[in-house]
Amino acid sequence: MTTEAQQFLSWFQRSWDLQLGWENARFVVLDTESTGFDTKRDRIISIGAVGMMHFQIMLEDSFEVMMPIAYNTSSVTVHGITKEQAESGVAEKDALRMFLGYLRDGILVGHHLQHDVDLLNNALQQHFGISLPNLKVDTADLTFRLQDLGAFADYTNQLQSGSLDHLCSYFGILPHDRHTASGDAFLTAQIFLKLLKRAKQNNLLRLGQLTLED
Amino acid sequence: MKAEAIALRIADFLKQHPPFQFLSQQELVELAAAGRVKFHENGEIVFTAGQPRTQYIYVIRQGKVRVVDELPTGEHLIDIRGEGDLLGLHGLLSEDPYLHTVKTEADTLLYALPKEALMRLTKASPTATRYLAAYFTLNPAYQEDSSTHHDASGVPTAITLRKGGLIEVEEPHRIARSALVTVRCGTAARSIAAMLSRKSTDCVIVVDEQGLPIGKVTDADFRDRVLQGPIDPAQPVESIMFRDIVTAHSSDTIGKLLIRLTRSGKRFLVVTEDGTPNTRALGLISERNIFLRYGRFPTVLGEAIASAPDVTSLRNLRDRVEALILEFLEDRTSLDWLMQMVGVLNRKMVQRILQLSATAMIADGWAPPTVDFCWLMMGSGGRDELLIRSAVYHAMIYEDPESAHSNLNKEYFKELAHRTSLGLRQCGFMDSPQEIMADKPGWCLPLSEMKQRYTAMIAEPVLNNVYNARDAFDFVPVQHNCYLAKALRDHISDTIEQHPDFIRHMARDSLLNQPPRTLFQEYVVDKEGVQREELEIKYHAILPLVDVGRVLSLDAGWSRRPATYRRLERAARLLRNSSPVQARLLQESANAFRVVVYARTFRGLISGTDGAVIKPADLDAEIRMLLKTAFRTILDLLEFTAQRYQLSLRN
Repeated sequence: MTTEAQQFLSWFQRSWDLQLGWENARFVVLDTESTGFDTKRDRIISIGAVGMMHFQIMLEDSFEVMMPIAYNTSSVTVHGITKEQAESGVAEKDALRMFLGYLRDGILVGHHLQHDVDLLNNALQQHFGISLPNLKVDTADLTFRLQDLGAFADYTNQLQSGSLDHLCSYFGILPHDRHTASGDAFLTAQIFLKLLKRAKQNNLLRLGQLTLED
Repeated sequence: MKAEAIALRIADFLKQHPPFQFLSQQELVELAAAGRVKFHENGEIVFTAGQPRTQYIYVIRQGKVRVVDELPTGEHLIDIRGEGDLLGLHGLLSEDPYLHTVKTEADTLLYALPKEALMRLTKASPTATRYLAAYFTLNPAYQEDSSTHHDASGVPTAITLRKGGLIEVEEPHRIARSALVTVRCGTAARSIAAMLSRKSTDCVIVVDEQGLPIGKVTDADFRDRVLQGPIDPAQPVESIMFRDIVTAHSSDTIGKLLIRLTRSGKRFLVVTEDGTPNTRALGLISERNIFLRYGRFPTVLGEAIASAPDVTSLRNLRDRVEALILEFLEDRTSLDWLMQMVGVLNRKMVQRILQLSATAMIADGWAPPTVDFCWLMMGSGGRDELLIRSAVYHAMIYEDPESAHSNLNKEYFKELAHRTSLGLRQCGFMDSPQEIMADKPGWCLPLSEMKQRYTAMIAEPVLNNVYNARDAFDFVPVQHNCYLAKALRDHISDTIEQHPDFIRHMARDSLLNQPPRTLFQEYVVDKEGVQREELEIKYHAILPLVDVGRVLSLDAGWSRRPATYRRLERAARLLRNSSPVQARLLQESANAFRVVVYARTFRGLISGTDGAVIKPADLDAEIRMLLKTAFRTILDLLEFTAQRYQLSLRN
């Protein structure tokens, strides 16, 4: 195991307690772009993330990286990419190394997060032989859990589906240029801000009440 | 690597709002990248008065908040703020705790920007600094050094020598048409040279097959790109033209043309059928052809007014005065000068109408009068505040004639008053709604009768409805130093001294018109929180200031320089040592007056009305912000007036 990976894993020796409150926890709201939906075959093109703490999106605690990829070749190999690299972006291994340094033990938050985590784990296994042990919160999942608790009884509009677009319009979040990783991460962070307010009002005060079960 | 994409979209929002619009894209990205995003649900408290400040300044991205003071008697609304408005900006000046409490009135998203970086970046930008100075001092601190435009005697100096210009109000499209030279796209660039020299123009408009304007070539462009530049003269004209044309509508008022020209920073406007580049080019307006044809300086206008052959040409000249006002309004610091200058021109104009009327009367067989007379301009004209052609107030007094001639004189002056009033109407001035005009009963009298009239008003203000005649207490003779006017003025001061209750009566009347509480985005908000689209700026902002200024002036027995801002500033100077807080309020009130007069005049001239009612939606954010502070100042001034004269302000 590389020193970077060891350093990263050392963050988890003393990390967040699921039984305690989440208000002081560091969340990292994440989105990735990939060449396709097959987490085994497709590759990550970019990672965008922004930190959140104390009901605030912390822009100084944000992360963005682009990886060079030949978009139209579905059969590119990891070695192929490193060869073709150079022109733009950061080689996948370097990008992941930077990402681990940024992420630390932040609680991962994302919209349909499992897809992003699978992609990342796939790549991390190849380069470093590790998977992300971070706690995870899925905004789509949390929205539906809060809805079941009647947390949005005062909303007049209907939640049509769990897509990011629908959640944005449901929560009145102004859309921007969509479909860049950090752009979507920022939208997801704004949704998460609103969800946290409602979580608190509905007595979901412990971190364990927000996270996904493994 | 920080997520620049996020900072970029925040910067995109910020750059639509002051003071951020004065910073560069790169600076905004830097600011945003160190910022935070906060969300508050409806009804939450953002911060509370007395709470220690954070190191952030907040910008409302989405939502709406109320700025309030929590008083034992309940909540006192100070302001409503929405998208693009700032919160906690006072933190740039001081580390003191928050001054007011801010509550959300809707779900609200805030961008928090680091105070230190904002301070550093705005300091480096003169325009941002200017904006913040205005924001903090209620009204522009920089207006206080408007004295730089005047020498010790108050004579305007450098300001009259600036770039200036007037467009004839008559048919601007005719000038435009004669100046238009077009060339079809596809024509060889070399043929432009001949056109530029032959047609004695310095700009050729390139049009397509349908005659739609697609670009322009000036003689300088031609020189730079063909004679000394890389482009082959055989290439089509499109290769050397610039596509950044600014268009105007053929029926655009002079005000709009002037503004477009000045605002765009371009030297040419292409006049098209519907004002967009999608219809045919009809004409060209250029700085040069305007300057060549028309006088640039007020002095030229003054001479033209004094020798105008008839009322029609006086009306045209007054139109040109308005074009000049509009141009000088671009620089708000010239407002004092502008009011004085226009006052001079207004008096010249009345004098010329009097001369023309008297000449016509002689031609009609009237015998000249045997005594002197004096025409008094009253109301805003009497205070040198008559910029836009709103209602005029005036009166005529004449020496008491010997009884043998009294009837003849009376008839003569009645006729002269009638003709002169008519002339003013023909020049585009409106009638005073209270009928304070020399051709109305009671306002064209021999001095002794006019004195009696004022005595009655002062002794029995209610019976004589002084409220509607208060403008008659501000007057200036059109002939400088007229002894009749001085005699009337002395009489008024003496009479007021004998009836001290009169001042208190006038003070009570001055409390009747109150300002709205604030502006919220494009709406006027009254103290109940009701929102309206229109602001009655004359009644709710200008009149309270004018009325209080008049009361202070009558109380102190001042007769010189009756402009409202001067009265308020003079009172401020008197109180500077004994009560600095009140002195500051009076100084701020003088600045508030400048702001409201500016907003009224500017919107009035642009929209072709007298500006008594304007829409905040038409104002830019900076002026809206200045108006908000002006409203607060006016309310404080009314409180001050009520206290001073032991009255109570109706809430």
